[in-house]
Amino acid sequence: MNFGDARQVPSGTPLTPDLAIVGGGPAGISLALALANTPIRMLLLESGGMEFDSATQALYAGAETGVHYIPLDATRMRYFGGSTNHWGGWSRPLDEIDFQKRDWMPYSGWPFPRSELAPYYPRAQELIEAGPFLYDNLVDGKLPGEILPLGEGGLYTSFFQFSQWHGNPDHLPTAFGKRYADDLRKIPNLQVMLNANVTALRLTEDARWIDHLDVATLSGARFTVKPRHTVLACGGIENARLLLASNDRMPAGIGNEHDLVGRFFADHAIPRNTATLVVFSGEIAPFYKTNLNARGTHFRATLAPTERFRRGRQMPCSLITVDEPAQLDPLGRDAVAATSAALGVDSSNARAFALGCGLELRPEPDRRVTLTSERDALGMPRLKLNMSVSQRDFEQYRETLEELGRQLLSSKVGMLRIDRRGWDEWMSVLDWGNHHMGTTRMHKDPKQGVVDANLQVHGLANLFIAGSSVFPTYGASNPTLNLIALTLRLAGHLKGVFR
Amino acid sequence: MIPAMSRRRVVTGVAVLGGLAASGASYKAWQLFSDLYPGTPYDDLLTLLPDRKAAASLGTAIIAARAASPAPIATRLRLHIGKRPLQSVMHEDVSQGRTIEAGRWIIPETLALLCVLAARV
Repeated sequence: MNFGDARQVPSGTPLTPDLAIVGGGPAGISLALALANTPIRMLLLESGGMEFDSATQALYAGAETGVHYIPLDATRMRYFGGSTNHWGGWSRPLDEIDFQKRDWMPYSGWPFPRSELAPYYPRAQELIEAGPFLYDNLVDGKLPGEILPLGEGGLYTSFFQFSQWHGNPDHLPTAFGKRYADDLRKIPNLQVMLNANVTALRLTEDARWIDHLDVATLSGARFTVKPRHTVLACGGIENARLLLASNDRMPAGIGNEHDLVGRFFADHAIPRNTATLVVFSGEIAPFYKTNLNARGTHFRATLAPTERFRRGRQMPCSLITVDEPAQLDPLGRDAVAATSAALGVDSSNARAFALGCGLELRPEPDRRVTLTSERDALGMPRLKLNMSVSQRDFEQYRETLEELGRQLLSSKVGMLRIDRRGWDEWMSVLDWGNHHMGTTRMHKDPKQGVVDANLQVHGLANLFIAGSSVFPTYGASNPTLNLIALTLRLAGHLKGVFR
Repeated sequence: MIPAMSRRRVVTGVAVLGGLAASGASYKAWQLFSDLYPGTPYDDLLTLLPDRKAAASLGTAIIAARAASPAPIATRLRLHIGKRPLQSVMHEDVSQGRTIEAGRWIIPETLALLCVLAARV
């Protein structure tokens, strides 16, 4: 039995694995699966147990400033499987442009192109159980309905695919802890330790290596783990917290020589009911409005900006979804009647739908997490998040909607009403994706990134970071598929490190 | 060839219209006929609108946000439209990105101006 409980480990017991994986979410579990049956002796340390526990979850609590954000102990899950215990399963690979440095978007660009990640997407897709890796290739086959003919312009129909537990569309999505527990139990070179909270990373005297990890349990047990290498995989917020809180030898925290750890926090802004789409014929393919099964996958259409449009307008990504049916007010009915008549199109069966979206935020150093003087039950400093979103983010999304409206008119398919204007209106419908990114950003230059292209913390030979905290630019795609692909790439690198 | 019954209806209709005109039919009288409007200096433009009532409603929303007087709008529209069908002018508008927000709806600029005109007269 390779699942243990840290509460049963006698205090002071030293553990000496080859590799410590800190965190049992999608990154940590994917890494353990990828390194199965290798000579690398792994210890996966998970803060929680197999089920939700409020005392463990409370370790996540923190403070917030800036614009309204989800409480830090509600926006993530601290038990085996991590935030796959509450994700929606929405998946889409990042676009080519998301990896590229753009002069008009400060701090943008990954240290490698999308092609570097491409070989890892199929396996990542298997792990999330979203069926064949199709996405935008879905348009090449038969679909239950017609693609909205938008014609030439800035937006096109793209696709999400959905994680589905054991491929069962009635059971969404794959919760990694429960789904892969049995597979992990069969891995001979893995030990999983539940209820094990890493509270600090301790450096060697020369501060160039991680010497050991301090581990604590809520029951009071404390012990150390002395691995050859360590991978932090505790999520987009907690990775930064652990680095910042490990400040006994380096006062600013580990990997924070250039004051980057915790900065550039990002999530996807999700304003609801941003616009009203009218389809003159009333007919829109069902896969725009809901998730559908076809071609061995569960999928849904989204309206995405083309790379050319994003470059031309110098804007981040946004993915528009068609949501619930909407009612038109008298002015709306007149707008549809006047416009469709002038276009020579029948609108007697017109139907309206609300549009939602996910917006990429620009990298912003002041959107950050910092330590506070408050401490959690294990004595770790709690975090404060300073969250922001700019009027410019919303204005550029309005530009995208204007372009969609123009394309609908051009193709005589329908028309669009933009329902939000001004800061207060946007903020009144703003929600967030729970997609935590950016706090340990990746860059080949130590002055601009916490980790290098191999996810190794700059200046530390045996510390790596997995997960979306390393995303230096975010795109609008949901991060799970992408962070798993990146973790699988790390697994390949670690095999070489241990060789 | 028009059937005899239809011919009688046409003759009757023409007689009624003639009678109204002869008696100096008032503006109110024109409203007895749906979709018929009193003459304006802009009828060459307004007759381009297949749904003038809805257009006027939308135009009212635009006027609420922008100052607009009909004469310069009509001049601009005549220059822009010329002898072309409205559909092709609208297609040109949207192809070249000339759209406007009218009551938050994205519509072709030419249609927006026609709507304002319809609301102003």
